[in-house]
Parts: sequence; C-alpha cells; structure tokens
Amino acid sequence: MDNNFKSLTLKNIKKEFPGVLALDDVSLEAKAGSVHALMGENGAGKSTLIKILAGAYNKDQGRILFDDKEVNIDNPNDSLNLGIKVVYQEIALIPEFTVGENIFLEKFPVNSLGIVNWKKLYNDCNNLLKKIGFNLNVREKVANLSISEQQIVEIARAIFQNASVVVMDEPTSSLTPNEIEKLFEVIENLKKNNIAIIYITHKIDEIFKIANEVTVLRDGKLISHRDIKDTSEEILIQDMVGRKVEQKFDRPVKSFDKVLMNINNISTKSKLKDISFNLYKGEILGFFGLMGAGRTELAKAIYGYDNISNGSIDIDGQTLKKFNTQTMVKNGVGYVTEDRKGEGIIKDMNLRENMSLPSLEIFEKLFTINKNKEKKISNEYIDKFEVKTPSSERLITLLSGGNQQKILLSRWLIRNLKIIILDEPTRGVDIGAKTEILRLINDLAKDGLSVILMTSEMNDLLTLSDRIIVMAGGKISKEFDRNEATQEEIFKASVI
Amino acid sequence: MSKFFQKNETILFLILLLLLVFLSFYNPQFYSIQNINSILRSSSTVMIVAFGMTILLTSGEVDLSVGALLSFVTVIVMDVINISGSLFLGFFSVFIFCFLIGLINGLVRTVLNVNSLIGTLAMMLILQGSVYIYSMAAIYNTHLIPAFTFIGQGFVYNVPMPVIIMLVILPIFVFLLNYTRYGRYFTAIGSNPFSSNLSGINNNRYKLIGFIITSLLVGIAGIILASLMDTGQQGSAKGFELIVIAAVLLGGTSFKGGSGTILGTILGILILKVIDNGIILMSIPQEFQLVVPGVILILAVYFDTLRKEKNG
Repeated sequence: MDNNFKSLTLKNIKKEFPGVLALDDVSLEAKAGSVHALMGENGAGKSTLIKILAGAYNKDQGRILFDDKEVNIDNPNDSLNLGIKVVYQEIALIPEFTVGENIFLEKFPVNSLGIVNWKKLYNDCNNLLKKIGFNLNVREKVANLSISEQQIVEIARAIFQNASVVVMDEPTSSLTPNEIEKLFEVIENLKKNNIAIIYITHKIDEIFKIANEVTVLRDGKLISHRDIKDTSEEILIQDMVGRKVEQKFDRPVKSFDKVLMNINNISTKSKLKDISFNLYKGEILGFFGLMGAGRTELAKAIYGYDNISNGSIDIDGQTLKKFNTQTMVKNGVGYVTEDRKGEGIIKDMNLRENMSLPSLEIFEKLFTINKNKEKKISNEYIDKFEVKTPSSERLITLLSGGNQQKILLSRWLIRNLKIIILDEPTRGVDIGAKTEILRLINDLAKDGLSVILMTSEMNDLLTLSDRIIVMAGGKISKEFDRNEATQEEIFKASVI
Repeated sequence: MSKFFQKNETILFLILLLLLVFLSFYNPQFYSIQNINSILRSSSTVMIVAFGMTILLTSGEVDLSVGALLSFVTVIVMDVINISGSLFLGFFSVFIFCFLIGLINGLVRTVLNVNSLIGTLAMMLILQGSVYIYSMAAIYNTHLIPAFTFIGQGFVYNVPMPVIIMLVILPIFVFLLNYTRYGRYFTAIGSNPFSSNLSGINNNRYKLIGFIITSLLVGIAGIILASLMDTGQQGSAKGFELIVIAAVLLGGTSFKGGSGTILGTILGILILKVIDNGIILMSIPQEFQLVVPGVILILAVYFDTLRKEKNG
C-alpha cells in the first residue's frame, strides 16, 4: 500500500450531457485516512462525478490532482493505476469463484510456468482480510455468501489492488443493521491503512457515524462542504433539497370495513409457510422483516410471479388457486420491485414505452397503439412527479435511480388499479424524492387504493401503515394496529 | 441530422448504395432486369423467414432449425402433391407440419426450459436425419401442375412471384412490430424478461407464438423453393439458417434481444445478396460467397456494440 499518499483533489469539474449540465464547477478533496461523504438528491451529479473518477466518463473542464500533481483520467485503466477503486451498489463478483479467486482475479500468484500457487493465494487472502478486520472463509464460493459479505469481498478486492482511494456507492442499501456495523468496522480499518474514502449515501444517520467531512451536491452544483462537527441532520437535508422537508403525513387512525383481498394459508416450496391476512380497501398494510424473512417472496407469490404450493387468494369475490402475473394485472393489482435495475426498467425502451407497457390496451385503437395519446399521458406523469428529463422519449437508463422509480410507479398509476404492492419503494432514492414518493403513497390510499408496503425503513413504516405485519422465517410473527406499534416491539417480533 | 446518421438503418442504406454504385461501374450488366430479378428472387425466401427470425431474436430467442425445416418442406410439398394431385393438400400438410415443429421448438424452450440455441440445434439434427427416413431420394415434380411452378418461377408484370409473396407478407410484420402492442411485448421480453413478466406479460406465450410464426414462414419459403427447384430435395437449404441469422444481426437486431427492426433486416439481406451477386459478376471464386458475409457480420456487430457504448 502506498503510504505516502495524501490526497486526491477534483477541482472545478464541469460535465455536460445533451440537454443537462450534470456537473457545474464541482470540487472535492478526498484525504488519506479520512471519510468524505458525498450527498445529494437523485440527479444531483454524484454518479457522474464518480464515473469521471473511475474513468467511465471524461470531464469537459476542470483538473484532477493526485498529491498536488495534475493527472489525467481518460479511461478506467488510468483510474485503476492511480489506485482509485469504486465499489458499486451492484456486486460485480463471479458467483461460482471462491472468495480468494475473486479477490485475486486480476493477479493470480503464479510461478514461472504460469501455474497458480493456490496456497499462497489463500494465505495472502487471509492476511488481507485480517488487515481490514474481517473473518471469512477464503475458500467459500461467493454465491454462498450474504450480500454484506460479498460487499466486503469487493472492498478487499479494491485494496488488494493497491487502492489509495476507495469510493463506495450506497454500500449499505441492502444490508441489515448488524451487517452495517461490520461494514463500518471495516471502514475504520481502511482509514487506519491510510486510504481515502469517498462515501455516497442517502442515509443521513450513517454520515454522523463514520464521515469526517461532507459535501452536498444539488442539480450538478456544489452546495456545501462542511466538517461533520459543523453540521446537523436538518442542515444537510436543507442543503440537499433546497427547502425544508415536511416529514409528517396526515394519516389519522381509522377503521376500514371493506375487505378487498383475502390471503388464505399461502405457502411456497422455498420459503413461505401458511400465510394468511386481509387487505382492506384504501388501507396501507405495512410489512416488516429482516433479510431472509420472506417479504419479497410473499410479494412475488401474491402477485403470481412465483408459484404457490398451497393456499388461495380471494380478490373481489372470486377465489384464485392458480394464477400468474397476468391474472393479477387483469384483477387490478400492480407491483413495483425492489430490484429496479434487474426486474424493473426495460433498458432498450424510453420513458414512455416503459410507462405504458402493462397498459397498452388502453392506448389501442384498431390494434394500433395511439402514440400521441401515449405521449400525452406519459408527459402528464412526468410533470406531475417532477421527473428530471428533457422528454418522454429519453432512454430510461439515462435517468437517475429516483427518477426511474417515479417512472416505474407511473407505470401502474396510469391504469385502473385496486391494489399496489410496493417492495422497498424508497431504496436507493434520495431524501427529496423519498418524501415525494411517501406522500404519493399516502394520497393514493386516500383515494381508495389499497397498498401493500414492504419496507425496511422503520420510519416510513410507522408513519404510513394502518396496520403492520411483521415476518420472520417465512411466517407472520405478529400483527400491529397503527396506534399500538412501536419501533422496539416491531423489531422484537422480527427476530423471533 | 446527427441522429439520422446514428440510425443503424441509415448506415446500412448508405453501404447498400455504395455497393450498388460500385458494382454498376464495375459491370454494367449488374443493372439488367434479369440480374436484379435474380437478386430479388433469391432474397425473398431469406426475407420471408427473416421476418420471423427478427421477432424471435428481438424476444431473445433463436431458431437454428429453419434451414433443415426448409429442406424438409420442399420434400413434403412435392411428395404430397405428386401423390394427391392437390395443391391444397400439399400446402395444408406443409403448414400442419411446420406448425407442429414450431410448437415443439417453442414448448422445448418454454416448458422444458432448454436454451433455444441448443433446443433448435437439436431440432435441426432431428429434421436433417428424419428427412432421409422419409425419403432417401430427391422427389421430382411429376404432377406438373402449372400453378405450382408459377409460385417460384412466374412473373407478374416483370416482377418475380416470390418477390410479390414477400411484399404481401412484409407490411404485416412492419405493422406488427412497430404499431401494435405485440411488437412492444417482444422487445420487452427480449430486453428484460423479469420486468415484462412483472408487467403482466406472459413471456412464454409470446415466445411460443414467435417460434410458430417462424416455422410457418419457413413453410411458405419452402413451397417457393420447391417450385423454384422443381424438386423436393433433402439437403437443399444447407446453411440457410446461418444466412438468415447473419442478415438479421447485420440489420441491427441484437443477439441478446431487445432491439430489432424489419427495415434493418431487409437492408441486411439485400447487402448480403448484392455482395453474393457481385462476387459472381466479378468472377471471384465462389468460395468467397461465404467468406465475405462472415467478415461483414463480425464488423457489423462490432460497430453496433461501439455505437451502443457511445449512446449508453
């Protein structure tokens, strides 16, 4: 490891895309042995900045200084040679390789004949993991590891490659509280090893635990750069959003009388055991569960994506035993996935086509899609949800995560919907968009839509849900009414 | 304007234009009616099948059995008409047979979950073998029904009949892919099958339809080919599937699914066929008829990847 490294500085970076000024005069300094948090709403320019650091994009203007010496980053190789390593949100490991093989992928220890010295590889690997303070069986296949462990492997890979700067993009978005603690320990160890860390997150509480300084971007501009001592949650939110965020929702306790859907004793082969509950019209039914509790599995089973092995669903008076996603969509059910990139967006399609996909029949006239009507309606939703895009004809991959999420929600709202299943609707979404999405959910329920809300954000769960069902080990462990649920009680029920 | 030049079809069109200009300077015979008709006629069977292949590749699937099926169809249609003396029975049995093969290809993919690259490769072997079980020898036209010969060899106002058949089928597929929801479904399924299923689309149903449509189109092409050769011949369409797939890919359809246009496919076929023709006109050894398209295909996919990287 390069122990002389002091800092990496970005100075007055500018980057323009057709129609969007993604970065406007942004500067940032990452100091060795310190964590620099980078915050901002979706589309603020964080990803663009990271991609410039990683060599995926070229800057239009500005300078990059490595220990006060100006450097060029024209391609990913330049970036790697400088020791800049980006750990992306999506894990990029080879599942069928062992931990050791993945970490040493770029540089297997070989003898002069090119034969791999496995013993050395696994020994070095053990030492490396020890250095960052983590215990892991180096001969275990990555496919068998939890997400957090995989993330650690990614980080280990980064420092094996002589990292001076490690960039982490939303590293905790799919981790449990316990796993987050472990990750923070690893970060502390990285600091001790004289590595500079740029830490991107939407979770404000994390910043106060590990960051030394924090920079906020908004609409491609540098809004503030503060020492962590000189800031507070309120200041950061205001910097990010540019206005005060109203966190309270008007959702009084009330009783519902019309049952819309009965879930009767649903089981699946893989996970779910005997799950039953009712959903009322206009109700927000929250689901909480730790990783592996079976929330996503339940969502997918109800929606007909995964087969059920037992049980039935009553919806609007009819009983369904065998059903698929088509049946559910026809019955007025919609689903927004937790895995936006893998199961949500269709990357070869533009915003309009992504939005209208489940509802093409409403735009149909004599077998032909009426594109003008389609454009008109998609533009209405783009305006309504303030999606940041020059037009509905833009490819969805060019949008930030939060904006993509708004499009995926609109996908269902343009049709006549009775029930919407939302799986982690605010994951990886910045605080401004998050509040908008939560308010939207509240408004939809007021208009009579029934919402099944699966979330690990305790705050969202408590402020929005009329009832809360807690899951553990593929079963329902407890049910709470709105006025009786507390954070502690819910958590207790989830670890049974 | 810059968008215009980024479009795959524009580039293909310019390449085709360049080829035409070059060949007409090189050999004025190129522009004779006979020569153009021969290019168009030999293109039309490829095009008819390629319409189906475009749909399949767009939805992320492929059918390698089209060549073997095409040969089989020429044998069936000739044999049945010889025996029965009825065009209707001949065509009917062809379409029943093709429907079944398409159905099996589709079911192997959707129910048995076998990758279509493997499943249809197996179907190709099965068809190549069983056609010899059906008949060891080539089947010659003994029925001599003029209407049958007309299908492949006839002209209407100087336009070859196969071209007319192709032109009748063409608008159906342009309409299907560009203006109906089914076109969107095929794209969605190929681009992200999880997402399309979660949007309430029955991926397997549309994949099944794609395989059946492709096989039925092979039926039409096979009838034309049998008429053109005046024979039902076992190995008459060797390598046909590769030309079709090469043309569709050259036309800008992605092998990974998600994007494809009929116009691109047509331009892809015309480019390959004009090059074919040029090789003959320029008296280059005929072996190059396979070499050149191979090289072009690699370049086409390479440039497509480059463009996608730049855009994405």
